[in-house]
Amino acid sequence: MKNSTLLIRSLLIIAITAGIPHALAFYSPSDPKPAVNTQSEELSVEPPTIEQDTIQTIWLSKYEVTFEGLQEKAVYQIKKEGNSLKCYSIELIDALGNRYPDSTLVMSQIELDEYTAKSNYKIEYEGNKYDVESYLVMNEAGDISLNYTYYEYSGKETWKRLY
Amino acid sequence: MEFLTETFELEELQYFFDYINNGSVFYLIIPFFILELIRYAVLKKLNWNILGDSLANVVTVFAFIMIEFVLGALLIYQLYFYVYENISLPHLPLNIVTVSACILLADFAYYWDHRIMHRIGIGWATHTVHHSSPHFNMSVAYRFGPLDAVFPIFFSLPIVMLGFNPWMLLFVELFVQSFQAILHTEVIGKLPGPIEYIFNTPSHHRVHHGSNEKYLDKNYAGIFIIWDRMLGTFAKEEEKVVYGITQPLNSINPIKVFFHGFTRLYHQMKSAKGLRSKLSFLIRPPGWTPPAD
Repeated sequence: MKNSTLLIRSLLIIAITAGIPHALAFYSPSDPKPAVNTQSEELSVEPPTIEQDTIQTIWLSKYEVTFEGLQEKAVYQIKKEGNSLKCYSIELIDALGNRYPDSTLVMSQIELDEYTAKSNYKIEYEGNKYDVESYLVMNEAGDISLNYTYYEYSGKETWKRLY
Repeated sequence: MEFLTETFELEELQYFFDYINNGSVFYLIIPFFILELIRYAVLKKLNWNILGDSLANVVTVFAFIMIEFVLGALLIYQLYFYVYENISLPHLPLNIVTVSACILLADFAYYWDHRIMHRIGIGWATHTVHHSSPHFNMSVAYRFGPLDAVFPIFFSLPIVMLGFNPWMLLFVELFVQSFQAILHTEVIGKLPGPIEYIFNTPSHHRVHHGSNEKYLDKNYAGIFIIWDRMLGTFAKEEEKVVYGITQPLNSINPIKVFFHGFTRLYHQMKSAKGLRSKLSFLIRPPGWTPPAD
């Protein structure tokens, strides 16, 4: 078989195979997972408005996260997947400043109301994992402060926007 | 059709693939290998060479895992995430469509990685280890060469650049390897037509391990044999397969097994005249000889 034929066939295979999930993610009306009741299902099939898109764009960024009472830090990234916003921990920074790559989903669905938002925050404490309802507020500089309460325990974090 | 785009978390995916990738060694590979040993015994073919060869295979896999571990910690882990965060298309959500596409792409990358390892000197120096056994059983699946973990990196990175999560890709790559492992057997004959047409099967893979002239450089596939059919490298199992390499190794010494490809490459390069000829051995196909002056 000629090299040019091999190349064309291979590129076609890659383009089609990678193109399908990208097309589906792009045109997917919404992440259906949170659509647990009829009302939200109805909302989820609506295509996003321009305004929604603009609001989402404001939140899309990387943030350096400091945890109250801890020397360790992390870098989080809010990403758009389909039409929903998710947050991943992409880097962990120890007390000495050493950086380690990470890829942990910490928020699977961020619900926005302009400059405030809420989401279930996946936290790990003493080896146990918890899904905690958290509230996020963005200030004028684009930084975020996050608060959560879990029974008698409450936590506060500062997410400094990285440009 | 909502289930197609329903997202799941990385941990769920990891749990699923762990069961297949790691678990299968215990519930499938080892029991099957014992069955193969019993078969050898029944056919009165069980001898010290088969046992020693199998032991050498196990030693090479541990050496391979050590290299893979160091590489993973130092390079793959950092490189994959750097590429994913800095030079990739928009990140894809984790759903059935993405995982299916990732399996297809990882398998296609495996095809090309495998083909290149057969067709360039430096690739063959490491991959010849896998082919040097004159036997064909489950233990041969774990017979790896020193750089067998290096070549796939070049073929996996473009998949990360296409927006696929590196962890998902890693699980899927291990899945392709696990699927490949169960093909290394003489116990299973040919499977029904449609399966033989689409999937790589023990029959197709026996051909790949053949040193018969008509079987050389054929059937590179991991999971899907369609890649070989589409790219002109498919061959059917017709004549009896003679396993091994064209220049037999005749050794079950694990150290010799693990390094013989590089030893041979070194001697070829050493005997060649001129830098150009020496370097050509690294990228020319196995069997290439420098042109006479």
